[in-house]
This record gives sequence, structure tokens and C-alpha cells, in this order.
Amino acid sequence: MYLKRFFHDLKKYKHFIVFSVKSSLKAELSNTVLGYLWWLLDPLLHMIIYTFVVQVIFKRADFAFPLYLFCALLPWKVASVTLGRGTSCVRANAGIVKQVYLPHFILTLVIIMTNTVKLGFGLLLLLSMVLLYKIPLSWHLIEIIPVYIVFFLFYWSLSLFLTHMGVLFEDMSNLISYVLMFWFYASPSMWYLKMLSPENLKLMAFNPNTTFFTSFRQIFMHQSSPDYKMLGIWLAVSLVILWLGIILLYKSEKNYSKAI
Amino acid sequence: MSDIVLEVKDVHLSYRYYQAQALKQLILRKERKKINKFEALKGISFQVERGTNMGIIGSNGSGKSTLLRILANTLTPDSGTVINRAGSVTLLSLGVGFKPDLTGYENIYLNGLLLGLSRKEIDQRMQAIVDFAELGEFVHNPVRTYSSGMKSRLSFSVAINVDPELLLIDELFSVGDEHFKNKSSEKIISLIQDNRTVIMVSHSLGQIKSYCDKVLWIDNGEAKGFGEPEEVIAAYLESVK
Repeated sequence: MYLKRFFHDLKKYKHFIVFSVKSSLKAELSNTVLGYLWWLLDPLLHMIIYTFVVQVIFKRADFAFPLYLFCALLPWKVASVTLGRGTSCVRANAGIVKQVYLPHFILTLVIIMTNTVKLGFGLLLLLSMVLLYKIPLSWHLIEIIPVYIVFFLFYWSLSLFLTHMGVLFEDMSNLISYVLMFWFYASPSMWYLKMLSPENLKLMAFNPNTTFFTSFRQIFMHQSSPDYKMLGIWLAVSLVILWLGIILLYKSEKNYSKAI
Repeated sequence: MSDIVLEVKDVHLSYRYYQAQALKQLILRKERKKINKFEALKGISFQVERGTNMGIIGSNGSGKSTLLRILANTLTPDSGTVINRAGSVTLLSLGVGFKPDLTGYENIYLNGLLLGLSRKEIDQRMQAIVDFAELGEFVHNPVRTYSSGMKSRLSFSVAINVDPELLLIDELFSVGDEHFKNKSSEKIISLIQDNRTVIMVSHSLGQIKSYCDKVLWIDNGEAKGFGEPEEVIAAYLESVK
């Protein structure tokens, strides 16, 4: 019943979703001087900061560290913005939510799709860095599509739960920024998996970012296929979370406007 | 065939369960008990026939807006049933999620899509919406540059052109200049004349008297009266004396 309703709503609101993505991209740009350039500058500046810390201060960087880092920073930017904004999305859209019925999963879907477009710009930057390091391009680049689909589904489905939590607990949006920071440092973003002890390495299998970041690196740095077995597992996990999240939102979304 | 478009039966709604709370309160369970329960609606029942214009009156905080939000399908009652046979419902009120950085034109699109119009329908109505709102060239400027009057004219214009079967109005008339007030009143009258069902919340008893065929008086979440405007309004005035 919910599944049918989900696809029905997805179809019904598809124009709204597309238009919302377009307009939020546009609205973000209208107030900044550099406009589109920020989508490139943002990951670039982050990369410079972390490269400075690891390469200059810790002196622990391997070959093409900026590229290694970039393969984590780009997807993580999408994930962190989706989870962060997803937590406060109902409050941020209180005007809409109180006046018309809108399936709430659409709110976070718009956020993650908007950031996917921005990621597209980041990937161009990533590709130019690949060329800069004289790494040959290959057909493996296409394999980013299945990787990104799993990544997208995982973080979108997670954001549905945070949407719910964010309505129930106002301070969730404060807490989430620390959770996200910890998650980033607990993922193989600016360090190497080989630095871990064997026990910790086993634990890292439970962090989806291990699979996602490594897949990005396999594709862009090593021109090889991602680990499809792990991706398959995370796809299954994502679909289960997505299913539960959709049900949770359908069941409780009409009570949200009481709380906000 | 029944001509009842809206059936509301014994609707209860309280603001207890989903009150936002601090994590602290969740951890210190003791404090949680203190969360007070506020009963906004205590068993409201009424029926509306197709084409009727119904007014809802009552003092501030009596539950009028809550009731409208239930009818607009953005709140679920805790108990009781709402049977809505209208194909489309629109809650008309001001600043319906406008994005200030987008132009009036884009906001019409966004708004229209939200209110259930298709892109084609919006294209067809675009000119009428812009003309009615009297925005002129301003339609291509961001909404943040609009005056509050322009914003309310725009949202009124969009909602009116959505052409819903059931139109819900929450205190609309107090905005806009004299000219637009007259114009929107005319529009409301034209809505009364066609066969649309309208439910409006208003503190202006004069408007309720002139536009509504039925009046519901809510006090403190309970229905105190339902029926002919003259009688219900008289009883209401008697009670607030």
C-alpha cells in the first residue's frame, strides 16, 4: 500500500521536484558574487586545508594525496548537507507544510538532488585533477553511476529518519553537526586504511563511507572496478532503510505541523 | 446521491503528542510528565453541502485555524473522521511558502505545482494570475523586493486561479489596499455565485453575514452553534458581551 502510494506521489510531484531543484540552485547563487564558482571553490578550499594538515604538518601523505582526499570530500559534501539540512527541513519549510499536503520525503529528495547537481561540477574538477596527475582515463569511469546510485539511496533513506527526529527534537539539528564531523573523521577520508590495526579495520566494514570513498578512488585513481559485493550489501541496507523511512514519514508527517 | 461534500464527525485534536521537546527532557524522564496537553478541538462535527459557503467564527485560540488545517489535509485528527468528497482542496492564506530569492513568475510556478496544478495548467493560467495580482513587470523581480501588499496579492491570485472545488480561507480580507480589497471581495462573490464550496475563518462578522449561508461557532475547541448566520452570530455576540 505504501509502496504504491510512494510511486504515485513520486510521479505526481515530479515536476515540483524538478522545479524545486532548479529554483534552489538558482536561489543559492543569486546572493553571492562568485555564483557557480563556489561549487568548485568549496571542495577545492577544503582540499587545500586538509592537504596542508596531512602533507605539511603530519607528513603522512602518499601519492596524489589531494586526489585521494577529493574522492572523499566530494561525496561527503553531498552526504553531510543532505543529513544536516534534512534534519531541519520540516521547520525550514514550515510555511509549505502547514498549508498544503506534501509528502515529506520530497523535501529531502530535493536537497540531495540539488547537491547531486553540484557534485557534477565537483566531478569535473576531479577529472581535471586526474589528468593533472597524468592518470590515464578509462571506461571504468562509467562505473561511478552504480556507485553513486547506492550512495544516493543510502544517504537519502537515512535523511528520512533525521527528518522525523528533527521535528521531534529541536536540538537534533545542533547535535547532528557533531555526529557528522565525527563520521567524517571516522571514515577513511584524510587517512589510509592501512594505518588501522586489524581489529579496527574489521570495524570499518560497518561504515558505508569505507565502501563509497574506496569505490570513488578505485574508479578515479586506480582505473579499476569498485567492490560490487560491498556495494550490493549497502544497496540492500539502503532499500530496507528507505522502505522503513517512507513508512515512518507517511505515518507521522501529518502530525508534524503540531510541533512546529 | 448525497450532496454532502464534507462530513466531519467528532473530531478531536490535541497538541500533546508531538510537542517538540529538548533531548534533555527525554533523558530526564521526570520532566517529560510536565508536558501539558492542549486540546485544540474537542469533538467537532458538522456537514457541508456542495456549493455552501460556511463561515467559522470564535475568539482567538478557539481552534478555528486548526480545524482548517485538518480540512486542508495537513493535520490528522487524533480521533474522529473527516470525509472529504471534494476533488481538490486549497487553503488560501498569505505567503504560501514563497521563496524570496525567486522571481514572482517562478514562485507562481512553484506555488501552482504545490497546490496541485500541472505545468500546462499553470502556463494556461499564468497571464490571468499576473493580471489579477497587478504585478506588471515586477513579476520578473525577486519576491524579496515586493511590498507585503504585492506578496499577498500574488498569493491570493495564485490560490484563486487554482480553482479548487473546496476553498479554505483563513483571514484573508484584512490585507491589501482598498482597491484590492474591493477586487478580492468581488472575486469572492463570484466564487459564491458559482457552485464552489467555501469555508472561511473570519473575525469580521459583517463579511460572514454577507457571504456565508452557514456559520459554525467554535469556542475553546467545542462547537457552540451551527446553522443560520443571523442566529449563530447573535448568540456569539451575546456570549462575548
